[in-house]
Amino acid sequence: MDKIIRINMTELTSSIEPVPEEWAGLGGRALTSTIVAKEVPPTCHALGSSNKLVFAPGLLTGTAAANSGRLSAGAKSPLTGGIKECNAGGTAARMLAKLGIKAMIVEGAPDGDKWYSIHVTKSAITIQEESELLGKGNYCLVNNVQARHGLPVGVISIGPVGEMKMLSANISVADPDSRIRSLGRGGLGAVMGAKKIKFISIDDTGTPPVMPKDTVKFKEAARTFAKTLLDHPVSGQGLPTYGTNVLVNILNEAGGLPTRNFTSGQFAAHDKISGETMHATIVARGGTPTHGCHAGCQIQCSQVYNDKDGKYVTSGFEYETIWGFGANCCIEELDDIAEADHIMDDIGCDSIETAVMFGVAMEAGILPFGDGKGVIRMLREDIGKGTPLGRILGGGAAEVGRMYGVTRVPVVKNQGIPAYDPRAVKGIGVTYAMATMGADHTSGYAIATNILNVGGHVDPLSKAGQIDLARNLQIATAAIDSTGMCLFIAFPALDIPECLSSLIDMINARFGIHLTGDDVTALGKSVLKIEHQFNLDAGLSKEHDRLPEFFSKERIAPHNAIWDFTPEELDTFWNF
Amino acid sequence: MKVRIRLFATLQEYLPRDSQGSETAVDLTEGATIPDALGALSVPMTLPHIVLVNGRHVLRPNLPTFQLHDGDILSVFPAIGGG
Repeated sequence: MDKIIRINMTELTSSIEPVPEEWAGLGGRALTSTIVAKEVPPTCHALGSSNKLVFAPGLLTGTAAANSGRLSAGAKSPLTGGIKECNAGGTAARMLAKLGIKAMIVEGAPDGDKWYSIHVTKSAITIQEESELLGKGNYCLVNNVQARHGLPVGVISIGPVGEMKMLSANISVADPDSRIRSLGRGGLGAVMGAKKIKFISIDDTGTPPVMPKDTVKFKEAARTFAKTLLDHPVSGQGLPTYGTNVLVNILNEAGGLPTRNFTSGQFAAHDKISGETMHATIVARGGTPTHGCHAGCQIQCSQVYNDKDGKYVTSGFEYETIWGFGANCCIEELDDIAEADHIMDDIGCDSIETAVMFGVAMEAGILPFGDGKGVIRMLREDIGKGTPLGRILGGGAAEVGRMYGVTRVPVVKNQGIPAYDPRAVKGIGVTYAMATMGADHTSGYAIATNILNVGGHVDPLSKAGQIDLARNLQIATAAIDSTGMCLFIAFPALDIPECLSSLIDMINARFGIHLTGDDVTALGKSVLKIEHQFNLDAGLSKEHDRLPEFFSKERIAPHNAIWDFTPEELDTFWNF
Repeated sequence: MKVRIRLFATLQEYLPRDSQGSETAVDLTEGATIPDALGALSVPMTLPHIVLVNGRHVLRPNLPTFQLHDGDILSVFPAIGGG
C-alpha cells in the first residue's frame, strides 16, 4: 500500500500523496488514530469542517491471511467528544488495499445543501453531486449503486439517520452478499453526513493481488495462523455454530446479563432469545447459520436470519443487539428484534446505542418495557423519519436520559454500555470506564477471561487482577485492530502461542521487516497513549474515566453485586 | 438430594427428552461431585469448558472434587465465545 488519498469536501477536490515515513508501519486503528490525533484539533466541533473522517484497511488486509479484511474508520466522535475508531468487515477494506490505498482522509465540508458521492477506481477519484439516493436506506442504496456500475463495487454509506446527523448514526459497509455491516459506534455516520457524503463506492477492477515481500514465509505463517483459528474450540467450533448470541445464556447464568435497563443481572425469558433458540430457528426456516462478513473469513460467526415464511430479515445479528432489545428492553420475541435489527441497518443507526437508548426510553415511560412493536414503529416512523421525538431518540441513551430526567443512564463518555453488567463482570467494567472510545466492550474484552475461561480465569465478581487484565487486553486489542484482523482471533491468540507468533511472522513477511512480540505490544501501547492524549486535549479528563453513579449505589441480583472501584484505583490503568 | 442441571450449546444433546428448556433435575446421593452429576446424564468430562454452580465459576482443578448440595444449580457449557 503506497499512497494516501485526501478528499477535500470544501473544495470538492482530491489528491494523492506518498505515505509519510512515520506512517509506513501503521494500518487500521493505529493509522486512523495517528492521523486524527495529528490533523484534527481536539476541541473542534465534531460535525464541523475541521474534523476529518479517515478510512484505513489493516496492515494485512488484501493478503491471503485469514480474517484480515476489516476496515477501520476514525474521527473525532460527536457522541463521546473524544477520538473514535470503529472497524467492520465487508468488501471495501480489501478493495482499498488492492488499490494501494493505505488511508483515505476526508476533510472539510461543503458550503450549501448539495450532497455528494465519491467513486474510487484504479485511475480516478470522482466526486459527484448525488440527489437520487438521498433519504434512501442502506439496503436500497447498495443495490442501486452496484446496479449503476454493473459490478459488486465496494460501498461505504450512510442512511437517513446519518444524513440527519444524529449521534447514533453509523456508517454501513456492503458485505460480499451486498448486505450490511456496520462501523457502528460513536456517531461516525453523523460525521460523514456533516461532510455531505451519501456514499463512497470503490471499484478495484484491474488491480493485482496484494503480494507479500516474502511469499514463501508468508504462506507458511498464514497456514500456521489459519490452523490455530481452526484448532481453538471457540473460533473453530463455538462461533461458527452459534454465532455471538450464544452468550445470552452464559451471561444469564453468571448473573451478568443486564436486564430491564440494568436493574437485574438475569432475564427470565432468556431461553426465548438465546443463541441455541436462534440457531434452531434459523435452521428450521432455511436460513444460514454460518456466514462470513468478509472474503477470507474463516470463523464465519455471522448468519442469515429468515422470517416465518423463509424470507430474509437480517444478517450479522449479534449478541449485543439481541441482548439490548431482549433482556435490556424485556422484548421476548426474537422476530421483533430481528426486524428492529434490519431497520437499524437500513436507516443507519448503531444497534448498541439504540438498544441502550430504548432501555432508558422505557424507563422514562416513552413506551412500555417489552413493547417490541412499539420499538419497530419508533425506529421506522420517528428515528428513520426524523420527527422531533425521533431526533431525541436518535441522539442516544445519554440524550434521552437528559431530556426525560432519568438517573439510571448506562453510558460512559456519553456512549451506551453494552451487554455485560460491570458490577457482576468487573473486568469489563474497567474496560468501559477507561476505554478511549467510551463504553466499548471490544476495546478490551475481559469477558474472555472473566466468564469464558479463555486466557485463564479472573473471578468476575472480585476486584483482584481486573485492572491489569483490562489494560493488557486493551493494549493487545489496539495492536490487533491495526492489522485488519477480526478481533475474534484474540480467542486463539490468548490460548495458543503460535497464533500470535504466526501473525507477527505474516506482518514481517508482508513488509520485509523484523517485528518482535515486544514491538507489537509497544504499538498497542502507543496507540492507546495517542488516543488518550487526544481525549485529554479534547477536555475528557480522568473524571470522565468513570462509570455512572448508579452502579455504585444499586446492587443487582443474583449476586448482590456492586461497582466498588475507587477513582484512584481506576487511574492506575494508565500506569504504563 | 436434588440438583438442577442446565446444559447449553452442543451439550444440550445430553438433556433427557422431558427436560424443561435447558434444565433437568437429577437425584444424587449426599456428597455427590460435579463428575457424579454429569455422569448421571452421560456427559463426558472432556466436554465441559465453563462450569458454574449457583452462578459462580468452578475451575478445572476443582471440578473432580467439588461437592454439590441439595438445590444447587449446575450450569455447564462447552467452549463458547462472542463479543
